Amino acid sequence: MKHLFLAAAVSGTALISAAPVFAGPADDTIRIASPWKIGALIPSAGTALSRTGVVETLTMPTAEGEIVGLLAESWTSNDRLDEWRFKIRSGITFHDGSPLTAETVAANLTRFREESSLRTAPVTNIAFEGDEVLISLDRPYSILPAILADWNTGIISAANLTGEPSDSVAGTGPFAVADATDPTMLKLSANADYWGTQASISNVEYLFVPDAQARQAMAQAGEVEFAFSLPVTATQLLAGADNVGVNIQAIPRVRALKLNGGMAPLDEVAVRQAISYAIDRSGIATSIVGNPDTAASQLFPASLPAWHDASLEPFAYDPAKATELLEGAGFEKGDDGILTRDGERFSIEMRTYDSRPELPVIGVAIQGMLNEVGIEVTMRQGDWTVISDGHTDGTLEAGIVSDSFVYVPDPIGALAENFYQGGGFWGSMNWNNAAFDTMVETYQKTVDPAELAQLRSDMVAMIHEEHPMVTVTWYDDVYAVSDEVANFSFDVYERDFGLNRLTWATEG
Amino acid sequence: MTLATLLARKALLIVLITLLVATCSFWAVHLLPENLALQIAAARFSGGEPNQELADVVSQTYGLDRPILIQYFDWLVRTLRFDFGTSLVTGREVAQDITHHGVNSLRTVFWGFLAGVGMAVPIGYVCARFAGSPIDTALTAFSAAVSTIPSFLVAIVMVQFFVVELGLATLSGTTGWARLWVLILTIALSVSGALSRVVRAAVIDVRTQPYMQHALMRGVPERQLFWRHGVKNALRPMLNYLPVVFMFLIYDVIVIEAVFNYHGLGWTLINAVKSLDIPLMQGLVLALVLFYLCCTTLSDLLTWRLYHQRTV
Repeated sequence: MKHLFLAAAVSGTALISAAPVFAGPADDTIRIASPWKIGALIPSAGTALSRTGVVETLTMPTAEGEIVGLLAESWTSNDRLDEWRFKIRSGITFHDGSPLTAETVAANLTRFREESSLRTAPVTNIAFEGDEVLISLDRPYSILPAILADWNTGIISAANLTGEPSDSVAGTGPFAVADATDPTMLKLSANADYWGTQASISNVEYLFVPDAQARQAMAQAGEVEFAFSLPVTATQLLAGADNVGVNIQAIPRVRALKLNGGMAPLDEVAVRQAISYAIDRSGIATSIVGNPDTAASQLFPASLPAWHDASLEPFAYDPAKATELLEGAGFEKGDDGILTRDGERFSIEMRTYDSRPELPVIGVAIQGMLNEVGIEVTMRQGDWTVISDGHTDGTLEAGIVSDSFVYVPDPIGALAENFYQGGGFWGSMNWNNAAFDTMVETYQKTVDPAELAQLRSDMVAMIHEEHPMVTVTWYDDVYAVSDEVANFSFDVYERDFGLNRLTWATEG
Repeated sequence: MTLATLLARKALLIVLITLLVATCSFWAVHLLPENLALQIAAARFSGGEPNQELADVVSQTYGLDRPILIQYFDWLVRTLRFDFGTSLVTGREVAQDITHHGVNSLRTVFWGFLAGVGMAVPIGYVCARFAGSPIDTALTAFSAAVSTIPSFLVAIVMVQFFVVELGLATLSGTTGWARLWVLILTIALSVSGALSRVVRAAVIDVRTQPYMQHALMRGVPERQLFWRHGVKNALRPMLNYLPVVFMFLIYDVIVIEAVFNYHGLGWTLINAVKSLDIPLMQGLVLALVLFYLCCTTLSDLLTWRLYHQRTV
């Protein structure tokens, strides 16, 4: 008996190794608690490699939304906008020492074409010539540079393109992977040969922490310098903490009511407008989302200045106006308070999914609000395939959805995917508007800035007026930053933490 | 029963149960979701909302477009050869991920179990020795409390108190006492609750046996008597109860690891389920079932060694 226990105790002791290393200014390490998993060590698998500055893309958006060069020094296109040449910056090396060449870039884009945003572009051929990458398309496509700014088009060393799973990856960014053997954690160290702004902090640890409460506790205990996507309640809970600040950042993502524009009576503009008037957006933003500022006044928030049109009349909550519009459309209230027209009750099924936990709650709130004006709503909840499948087979009547408009940093990418020609899973459905489709096509072959601006405001105005999808709220990310870190700014495009710009507050 | 027949029986049982569980988990995953490829696409390429083209790419890559029976037999054959495939999310070997996280889980489970038994035995013994006294009542109340409060609740309180308020422990990393002690304590509490009740009952039972009473009347000192003749008999119900404890351990591993953000098998299982990483999920379920079966086999062997060896 005794020797059994002894043997067990000894083998158990062997499982326990050295004491943990505490991070912070003391060992020059930034630690990040993130809800976004690391996944395979390729750029298209997740945002981790891009956000931490391991890999870089050919282009990038500025804070104002303008697309500028990153690994591409400059680019040109032919007059028809269906053939593009990207000149690759010279003198850049990957973390493994190999040089960045047009050949490697072309190999990357070809390898990850189906998995990245490039799949949305009508690409016919990717090739290289000297220090230039050539991309040919089968129709004019002005937004190609924006597509190449998406995080999933990052460029990695040729040695990592074999398709074999790997324990490391070499990019060109300010931080290099030091240790990625633990699938839940990335250890990074500053790249001394970085071609751009050198990082002043030497180490980064990116921790995948899927539980929001755990992220909050880690920020509160001072174990991490950054914690992202915290619960809304974190703003109150962490308000008293003396070592950490909590911020709320609006991001260009919306929660919206998707409507089947091919189904009577939702195919009538006046009816969709009435639904919009019946929704109390500020009520939902205040009591469900927890931030009154997220109540949408139009499709795009002010954080996308090029697409936010301040001259548009904000969405209003006006049940009387809604009733008036519905009466104008020929509806009459029945005995049970539900509208009818030609003997048909105004009753729709609304689907929600729960991977974003607030969506079903918002659904129930909207159900109540629509009932006030006489629209009967039944709820059906599932996972998000109830939306995508319903969209595909045409059975969806209404649904609460959420999507970002800036995965491709130019929102035209999302507009084309979500509203063009009958819509997409996370946008309109059976809303076929030839004028809008023409504008999207024109936009994709236009380069003149003034003309583009006009098209943008026309497209936004049309969606604002016709409500192919009823925008309910914008989105925000609640995040905590340690007071020991200075120079952090949140990237609304969700593609780069900007870790190379950070400094320790005590040093400054 | 000889050792050989015991081992043979156990081995057969392990193989059958493992196959059964594996088959159930395969069909549960492949029959439930409406559009599996689309869901995997969403999980694999995090960030962007998924679309059907991506789903078609996924479907081809992972062979999800083949008839389900073919997928099942293909999977079964590979599993029997211990080839669990590669994770859909990380692209690594599933076996490699299981080993990596399994070592982490073993570390806490081993120490948590030892600490739990270390708490349960003295508590149970003291309760039995002083049955009916205020100390028995107090310890009984304590055991009842820790065995009825769900361990995730205990874990949340532990995190709030020791990590956030006092800063005595951390929530990141997988090694070092500063990281592990709260976890081990939480597991130990959940193990000790019910186990101490079993020990108490066993000790009381032994102490009231006629042979013990007889020896006591003959003037044998109680302490000497119990340690020489009582312990072995009192241990037996405890050993028989261990499989139940192991079952709770598996539950603890899943729930407590999630709350403590501890990267063991349970934490990985939850995330594999969330991201529909099917090969990893099935590998983990198999690993947990095997762990449980091996533990119970070990406790059976111990029982056999203690009580049956000489009767052959």
